[in-house]
Amino acid sequence: MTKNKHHFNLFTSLSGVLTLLACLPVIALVLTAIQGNSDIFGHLIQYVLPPTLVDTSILLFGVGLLTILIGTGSAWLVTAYQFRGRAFLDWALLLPLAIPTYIIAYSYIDILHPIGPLQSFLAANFGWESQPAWFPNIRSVWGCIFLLSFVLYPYVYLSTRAMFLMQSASLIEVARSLGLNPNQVFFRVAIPLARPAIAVGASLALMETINDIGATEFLGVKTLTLSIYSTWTNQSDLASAAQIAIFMLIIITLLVVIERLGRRKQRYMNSAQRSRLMPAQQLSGTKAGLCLILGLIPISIGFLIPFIHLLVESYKRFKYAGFSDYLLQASINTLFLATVATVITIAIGFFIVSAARFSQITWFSRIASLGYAIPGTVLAIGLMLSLGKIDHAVADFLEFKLGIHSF
Amino acid sequence: MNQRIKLHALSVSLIALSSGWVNAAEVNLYTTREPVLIQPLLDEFNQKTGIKVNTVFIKDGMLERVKTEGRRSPADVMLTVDFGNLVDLVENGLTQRVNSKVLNTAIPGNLRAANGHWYALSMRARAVYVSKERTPLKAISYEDLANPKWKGKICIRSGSHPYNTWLIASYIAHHGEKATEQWLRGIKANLARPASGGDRDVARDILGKICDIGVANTYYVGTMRNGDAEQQRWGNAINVVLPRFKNGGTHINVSGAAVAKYAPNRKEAVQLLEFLSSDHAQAIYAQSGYEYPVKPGVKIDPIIASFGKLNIDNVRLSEIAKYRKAANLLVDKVQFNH
Repeated sequence: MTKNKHHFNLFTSLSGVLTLLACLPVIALVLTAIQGNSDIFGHLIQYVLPPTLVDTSILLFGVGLLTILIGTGSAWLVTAYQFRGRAFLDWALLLPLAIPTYIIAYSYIDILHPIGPLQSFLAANFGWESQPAWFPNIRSVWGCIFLLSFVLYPYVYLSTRAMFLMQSASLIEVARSLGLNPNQVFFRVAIPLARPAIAVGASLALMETINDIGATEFLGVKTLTLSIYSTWTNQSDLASAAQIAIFMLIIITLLVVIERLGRRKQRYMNSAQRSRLMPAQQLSGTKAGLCLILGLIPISIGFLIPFIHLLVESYKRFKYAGFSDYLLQASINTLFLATVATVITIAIGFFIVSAARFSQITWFSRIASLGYAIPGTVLAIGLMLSLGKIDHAVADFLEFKLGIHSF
Repeated sequence: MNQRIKLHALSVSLIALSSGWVNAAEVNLYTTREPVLIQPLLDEFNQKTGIKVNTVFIKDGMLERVKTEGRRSPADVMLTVDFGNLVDLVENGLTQRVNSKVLNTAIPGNLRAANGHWYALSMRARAVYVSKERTPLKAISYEDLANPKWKGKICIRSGSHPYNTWLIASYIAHHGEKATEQWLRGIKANLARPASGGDRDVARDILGKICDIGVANTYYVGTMRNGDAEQQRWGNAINVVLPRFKNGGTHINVSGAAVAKYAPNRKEAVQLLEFLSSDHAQAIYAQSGYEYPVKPGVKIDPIIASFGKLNIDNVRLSEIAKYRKAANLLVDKVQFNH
């Protein structure tokens, strides 16, 4: 009993401190926002927020819908059916996650441009008239939804696939024996059971969407995040940027709360201890081929096409300018940063989740994860402002109390 | 207890490391400029003076960083693109006065602060790219961009981008806010695609027949025409017209530098600035960056020279700076980017 209590204290206090640390940039942003000019806020409400809210909502709604569609669809495909190539699809469907959102935006603008490879090829071989009126304009909110969805669906795929695998085979079998056809099994049993997993995957995809700056800016979609960024960088108005950031944070908090309330009373955990895996239906012939093609579509759009495009462009660049000296240094920096950040993230995540488990105080983890929705650059500013204060306090202490001079 | 001692030891050694950074014959540079452009200049400076340059390349947030570092900031020189960034540094009290005869002789009066708090080091003009194939245009005014005859024919990047903000602020300085609002609405109605992408995309989209003319900076033409095969196609698809205000000249923006208020190496900082304003460094700005040198008499790159003589607008940069905020608000108001 005492041991448990000891655990409770250690984890709770440690994760409390960590949560506070995670909140520091947000607190710094709030303080910055308060110092802002209130007459600008009127301007923001009148001219900036309404159109950006509309664009942001359309974008989030579209990406949410499409990632769920592609993510659950492909997860069901590789779980419920057995066909040649399924094992390959199983992991290859995750590949688009490796393509950053701005890279897919740049790639497709290149590929679909009137002088890009696709239209050039059509023009050379089929007398294609450049850029006909009906040709989809990728530089639009619709283009943005399309592109973001094809690199973000793996979030939904990953979580939903795990849920499908965990679902008790007996439930599916019962459903089948009660006369449900595969479609009905999918919509009436598998999907409702997988709902929490879909929600988790989709909310990660949406956080990523709302956090995006590169793709949206390049595609000309004016999101809240982009207006935060441009208010700060272009108008040198950090206070107003912080105000929009806080506004956005409130919206996200509301979304998270609503989502939690929505499934508060539902318990989905599989009651059967380690039940048999869901039986996959063996397919062959045309049906198997069709399934393979279906699974290859998201992989091609979200990974293969942009990847090949990047390879071709890199080759051209290499032929023209050779390897850049900065490439190696940049790679080392990236690797170093990724490694350190991963280790720290895992450690902090572990403590906070453990605290939730030992002490039932779950709001630490919720508060701590809110920062995920703030654009990295804005977060960095908040972090710099708050850590700067701590840094100065430490330096002052050393200098005045201990006589150590430091920069 | 043991751990606490370790922690102290660690922080002390970290501090020792960081203070070792500011030894003699060094200068610490914070810059938002591309390493490719600036590194040759810094190497040259190092060879000439023996002063080591420690460079921090920053994309965004230089101001916040220096401000947060406060009196402990290791920054000596801050080198930025876009006049707005220089103004911000000065207005936030992060710069100090430099009184250098070398600088004051090399750099014309309208391209440096009267009180020596900032110095421009290179210039770029906001030009109009026109289709070689479809648009035989030899001259145009900025005012004319709003002319309905260009409906569906103009490409431009986001109106909130500093390059455009300064052009718009400059328009306000010439014509006032009301006329500028009309002008912006006019340009918006003429756009061939949403205001997005970069300046190079203007050339590419002209080649792709999305638009016939577009607004973009001069130096990109140099990088495109001397770039890889693809970029050469873009750069060669356009002619460049240096537009003028009806009652003035061509709008320019600058890159420039300031010495940080708490610069630990003030002497070396001024030396670096003086070097950057020398004939030699100015020629590098012109050759490898395709910018206009600020020092009169330094040779301009042939591609840039082919655009014709640059007649710099008569409104001073410090005057334009007053309208920057108004320019940003107008862009939102007319929903230029939507």
